[in-house]
Amino acid sequence: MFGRFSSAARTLTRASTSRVFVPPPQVVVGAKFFSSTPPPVDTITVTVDGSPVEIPKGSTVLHACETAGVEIPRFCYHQRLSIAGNCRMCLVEVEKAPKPVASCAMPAMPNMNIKTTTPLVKKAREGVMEFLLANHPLDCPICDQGGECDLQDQAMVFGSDRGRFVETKRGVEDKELGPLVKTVMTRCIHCTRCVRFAKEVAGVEDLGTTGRGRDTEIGTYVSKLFRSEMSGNVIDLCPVGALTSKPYAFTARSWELKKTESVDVSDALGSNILVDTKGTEVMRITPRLNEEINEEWISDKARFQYDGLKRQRIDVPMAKAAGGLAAVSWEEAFEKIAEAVSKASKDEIKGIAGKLADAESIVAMKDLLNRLGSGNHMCEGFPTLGADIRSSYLMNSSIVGVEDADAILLVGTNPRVEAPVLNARLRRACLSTGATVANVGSPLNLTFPVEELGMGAATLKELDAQSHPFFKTMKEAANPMIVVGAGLVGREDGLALLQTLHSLAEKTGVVGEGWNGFNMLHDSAGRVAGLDLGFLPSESAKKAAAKVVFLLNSDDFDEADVPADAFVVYVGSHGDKGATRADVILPGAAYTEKSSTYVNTEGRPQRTKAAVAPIGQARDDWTIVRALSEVLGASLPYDDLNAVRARLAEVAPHMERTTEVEPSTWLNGSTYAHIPAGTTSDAPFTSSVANFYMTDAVSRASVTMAKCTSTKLT
Amino acid sequence: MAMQRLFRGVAQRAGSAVNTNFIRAMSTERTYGNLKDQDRIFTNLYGKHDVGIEGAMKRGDWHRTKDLVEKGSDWIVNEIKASGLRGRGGAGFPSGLKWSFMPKVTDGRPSYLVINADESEPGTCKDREIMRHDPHKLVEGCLIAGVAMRARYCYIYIRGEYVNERLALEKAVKEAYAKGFIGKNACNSGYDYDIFVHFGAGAYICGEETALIESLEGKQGKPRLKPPFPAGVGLYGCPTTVTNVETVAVAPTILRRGADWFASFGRKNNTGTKLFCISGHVNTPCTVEEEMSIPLRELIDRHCGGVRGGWDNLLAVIPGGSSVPCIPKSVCDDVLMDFDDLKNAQSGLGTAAVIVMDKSTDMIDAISRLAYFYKHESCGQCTPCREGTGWLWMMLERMKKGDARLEEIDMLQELTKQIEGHTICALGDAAAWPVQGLIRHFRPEMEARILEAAPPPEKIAA
Amino acid sequence: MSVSKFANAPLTRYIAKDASKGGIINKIVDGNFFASHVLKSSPRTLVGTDDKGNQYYESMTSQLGRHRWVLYSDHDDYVDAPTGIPPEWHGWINHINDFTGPEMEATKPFYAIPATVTKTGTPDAYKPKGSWKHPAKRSWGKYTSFCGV
Repeated sequence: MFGRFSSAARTLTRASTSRVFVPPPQVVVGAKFFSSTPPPVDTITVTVDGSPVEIPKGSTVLHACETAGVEIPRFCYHQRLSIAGNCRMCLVEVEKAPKPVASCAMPAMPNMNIKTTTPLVKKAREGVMEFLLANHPLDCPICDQGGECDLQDQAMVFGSDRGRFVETKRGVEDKELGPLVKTVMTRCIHCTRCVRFAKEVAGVEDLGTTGRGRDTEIGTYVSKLFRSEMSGNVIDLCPVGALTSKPYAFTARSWELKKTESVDVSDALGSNILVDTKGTEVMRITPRLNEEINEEWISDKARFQYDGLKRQRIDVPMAKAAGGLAAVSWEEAFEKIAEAVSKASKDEIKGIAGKLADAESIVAMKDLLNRLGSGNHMCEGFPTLGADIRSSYLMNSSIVGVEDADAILLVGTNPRVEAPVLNARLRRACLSTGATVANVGSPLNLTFPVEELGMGAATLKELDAQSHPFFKTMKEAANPMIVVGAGLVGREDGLALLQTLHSLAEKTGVVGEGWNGFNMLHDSAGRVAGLDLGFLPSESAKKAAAKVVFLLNSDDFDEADVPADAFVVYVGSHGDKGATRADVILPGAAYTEKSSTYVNTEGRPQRTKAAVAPIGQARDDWTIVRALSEVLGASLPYDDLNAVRARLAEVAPHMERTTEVEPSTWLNGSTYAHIPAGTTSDAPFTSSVANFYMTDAVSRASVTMAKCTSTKLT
Repeated sequence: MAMQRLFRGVAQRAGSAVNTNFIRAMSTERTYGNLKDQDRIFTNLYGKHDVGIEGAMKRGDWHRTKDLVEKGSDWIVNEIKASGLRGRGGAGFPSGLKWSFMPKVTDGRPSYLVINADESEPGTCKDREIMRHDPHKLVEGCLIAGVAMRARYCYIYIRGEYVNERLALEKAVKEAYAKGFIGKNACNSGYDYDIFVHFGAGAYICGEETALIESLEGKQGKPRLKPPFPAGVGLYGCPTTVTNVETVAVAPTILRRGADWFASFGRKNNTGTKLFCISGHVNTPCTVEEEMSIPLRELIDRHCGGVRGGWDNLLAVIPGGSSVPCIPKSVCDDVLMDFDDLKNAQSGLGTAAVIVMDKSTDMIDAISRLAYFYKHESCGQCTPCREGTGWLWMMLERMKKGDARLEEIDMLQELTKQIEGHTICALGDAAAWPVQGLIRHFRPEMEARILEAAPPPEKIAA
Repeated sequence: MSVSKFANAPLTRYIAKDASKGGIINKIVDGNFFASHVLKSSPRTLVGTDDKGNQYYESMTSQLGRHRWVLYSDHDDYVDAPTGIPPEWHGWINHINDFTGPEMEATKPFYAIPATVTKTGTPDAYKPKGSWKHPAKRSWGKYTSFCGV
């Protein structure tokens, strides 16, 4: 009945017969702060408030206090940014030191006696707090940071109970940083977190301080916008309400919001997010800590595309009528589909999984099509290639592993727009550990130095032929890495290029003992789940012309895949290209409205949680497919979410072990060996993402993203 | 000195009104001051002779410098240690000790000597005279200090406003290069040494050593966190020592005439000669080289023609540049101009810039003006200084007019305590100290001013 | 509009209108009607008429300060009608100056729109963005749906 099983199962059978290298099971390490430095082995003992604490050598006094469980107030210190030591809030007393020391910057020495509860420390904190509040406006009631403000909280704990400042307060002109970040610069306490973030993580030296003394201002020197794909993170970093979210401004108070832990689908990284909702509305999206994926950053698209969830929504089933699409009942919609399906033969029924398709709906669709006798299913943007071997389409080094690489070759990808958070890691690898980064494809501006090797296939061939100087760099590197963009895979000659790349990977030792540096960077959240589940056309289906096409959240399909005379059924949440083409539209739930599984580009399955209910008559996508199967006479054997997840685990066992990465098998370049080498075209490699702010149905519906696009163009 | 202390104690215990100068004269203890011409280090302080290299060589500069260089760094450091020279930039850290902090064996990073010629302390004009009229003393000192620190490169960071000084110094450096005294194989000693003159932009904070390093690197002149100290990680991340112009300029003469000669001046731990800059309400303001530990009164009377209107017309003196607390006349009577005695008087020698104020001075206005200076020159990096200096100034502006309440004086004192010691660099301390000095010595005046402007409520009620 | 049309409007029209609203007895008892149509009927000078047909009268024999008055062309509501007096007549009727509407016409800026009676209290009243009466705030729809192009 289930004729085609998962690629993973077949992978294992083939793997056992080939000359293979099986990597050891990957140990998932918890916190990985600085992967470039070896874990500290030496420890020293210091005393914090009378109790001895053992801390690694080279840690700061603040770290010692944290280890001892003593909370030290701070504003400027942030564990992912360089130390500024300028807020002076973290002052503690150290025995034998003449003055209170800034604990964030002071290295802990053996047998140091640190005191955090003495009157001196209390007075120092109170004094600094008084100075901070002296020029801070008293507008907490109308401040968007109110309720989640570091200054507010710490003033309550460490501040004095009354103010003595009766002089004139400072006023600062607000800066215009673009459509995402709102500034109220009078509230600024000059912690310079935003400046350090822009300089160190985002790599855009747009922010800085001007003026001095009381007239110091944070700004962009000359009036200009803060142009970074990660600019929204300064909103989280800002300890006061100086930098707040412009789209979120005055829409909700932080204590009214219900927080739901979820996963972002705007790119293939699967950044962890918190969806903040009020009633039935998504009010904002903030990042959630995950050291292995996004640390605590998310891209601007992930953070600000949520207003797209409220526009162009499909809330009722629709069917094509005389004057265009008209609302119909579910029954009518299903009847129309059943009629169309009855006219089509087996392989003429086709399914296309789109960028936002979740694993549950993909497996349901695949089972339905298989039951109807069709093997004609495909993932959008992945037309020609097989996906039998997981390692051929995953980011094998894992996202954290990027920082271990010392020679990185980017092929047909622009990580800055395809995955900005990954780009921040690449930047760190390049700047802190000195990795060499080279690019084959259109020239890039990645915020760090990139060696431009060439534009297209010719350069790749040159590398493969060992005649290019960068071949030597890769060969000599301890951990060389190749990052293949999704743009390359979508090309006509994608297969031939991948053959070359696999050959190059073999020659340069990209895959070796304990290291697999062959990485594919996908551009959409739904792709890897589809490939893992074998959502690929069977041999017979490749030749069949589709008569009925099911578009599963698919809006960027190739025109050739959907014939003009085909009956198109669109299952999805937004009225976009797919819905306009459709004959019948079935309203699905958006990613904040369903509990579903997504697999990120490194093969890590993660689950979203429903933060709000689906709107109107919309339903979870897999339940729509399940209901449809009943009408089409091929009932699927699962009725609830647990059952469909059990089916998922049956097809692809790793889907059950969420948040973990299943190690994949590397076939030593023989992945494509059985396929004759194709010809390559001279067209330059380009990224598959032309406009960072508009990549899928949600972000295209978002007004905020449209504003970003227009400011980017000006 | 012990004798002097004893006698002072006796005088105080006896409750007698005997002039302590008299006791000092009666004691067997020597007196200080009245430096003889042959003991002066800066022989062209007033620019009366040739500034160029020929004139300087006639005055003894560059005389057998090769031999000094060849004696090696350990000898130089030990001589400086023996001479008891303390840093002339204000903090008074022992120079020999400071120079010895530089790494003996290099780890591949070069060592740098940076000369702090960013002399911006209000009232101070000693380095300016050196650079203007005796630049070869400094250039030669750079070589000697550089050798002591095993540095091959020296940067002289000159304050932006010192245009003539920079021209004079650049000329001197050029002349020294031409003569082969510095550059490749300096003084034929086989030691390569280069001096670069850098031009600041006139920010007071760039006189702080780490801010100076930042500024020299081309960044905003904002002090760095310490540790790491510049001797470990300084300019461009390499070991660096930042020293004052005067400290370096006196080094060659100390080495030539011997540490004992230098140590013979002044009290113990406060040895040597020093350039004093006396300004304000004296008859002839001047910069003069004198022996350390000279009594303040003698310094003013001997070199400046006395206080305007006589000694009794004296109100207060700021003895060490704007950043030390002022001392009232009662203290000025017998205080000695050295690090330790002024510290006992709850002030400091600082840069030895003596600002004399007679009774026509509005003390609150004067300190308020200093507070404005610190508000203007605070770099804005760390909180207490950024917010506190402005606050102090605004309060003092009100107190100047008496527009305040009596308890606000205590609050002002508390604010200075909240700034002091809580900042990255010493500018916070420097801003707090003058105000503390004002409150310590002139609180009755402040109270009177407030009461005069607004009598207390009970009086109104009565 | 021509002045003559309104200058010759029959008195009966007003009387009929008033009667339809509050009853003729009430209108006669009400001082407004009596004062403007009977007491001040003669001698009076029609100084001018504005675009809406309000007639502006002057009578130098009347008590000073009450010697200028207006008869509204559409005097349904004496409370709101004065807000509809156009700016060019405002100075004259309030004794600020002696320039009549046509004389003040030249001072009218090119962007001026016709004067209207205040909309306060009516459904057309202005509602700021933050007001709970603003349509966006009244709407319970949290999303806009796909209309099928």
